[in-house]
Amino acid sequence: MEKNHSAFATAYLRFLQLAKVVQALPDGQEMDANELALLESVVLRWYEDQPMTVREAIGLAALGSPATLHKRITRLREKDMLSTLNQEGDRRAKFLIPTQRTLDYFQHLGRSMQQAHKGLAA
Amino acid sequence: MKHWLQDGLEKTALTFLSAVLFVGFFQFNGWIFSGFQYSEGVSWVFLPAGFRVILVLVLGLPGALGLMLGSWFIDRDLFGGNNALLGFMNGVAGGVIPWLVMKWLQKRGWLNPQLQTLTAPQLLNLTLIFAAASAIAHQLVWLLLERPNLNIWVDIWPMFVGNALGALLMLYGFKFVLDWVSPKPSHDDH
Repeated sequence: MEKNHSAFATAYLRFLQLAKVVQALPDGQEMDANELALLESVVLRWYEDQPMTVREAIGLAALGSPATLHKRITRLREKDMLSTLNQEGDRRAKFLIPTQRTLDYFQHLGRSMQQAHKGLAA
Repeated sequence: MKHWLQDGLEKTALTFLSAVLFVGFFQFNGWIFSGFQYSEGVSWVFLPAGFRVILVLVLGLPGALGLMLGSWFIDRDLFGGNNALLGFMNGVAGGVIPWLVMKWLQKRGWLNPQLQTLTAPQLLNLTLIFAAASAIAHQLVWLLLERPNLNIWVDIWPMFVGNALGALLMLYGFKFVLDWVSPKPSHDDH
């Protein structure tokens, strides 16, 4: 395979591979499975135009205790995956909404799924 | 142009590119991290070590030869005196050893020559392996050639730490630039 490419082309192709790996280097912003499960629940509700309040989120008993879920929400906010929104006229209800980073993340997942599907179909 | 001539010219160009990048970042490192110098030629942060990883992985042998040439250029004063062998071996330790390590890893099937199966954890491991190999090779050369005031068991650590920290800084700097310039997906779907 390598013999078919010039030295410049080989170097460039290896550079592209390395760049892809460098972009995947861990940066402390990765989510664990529990955080992802909570994020998915919150984003699904937002997608259904019924954004979840913080109170509702910490009441998702299947995902953990309220104290644990509260910590998880805090971590997701620190990772810029969730932000909060107050409803006009009611400062008490705090809604959880996805950030731009979260939308990018789900779009990336969607595209990866599409690519994998195309790969299987080919 | 005949294929072998074109190939030779391209590899020569890549070798010089590698040498220029290594020397340039060596000077830059000396300028920006002069306060971190442990001893002559050893710093607690050594950015050119990042180029050792990148250039050897991407360019292969021309990258390694460029690192060696760059090292000879940096040590050019040694070639004028009676330390020519030290200068020569410094270049071999800095350029050829990482390449030999890479070849050994490829032979064991741990690393694909085209980097197709390389993962982020593997790249981090490679960075540490290259940092260690370079530090050990340099210290052994200095021990064998009786460089004055050398204590290999102590001096090897600043060199290893400097190589590893410098390479990680370079790789994460590269990641930061790539993240910054990568086009963001549009959100027309929602």
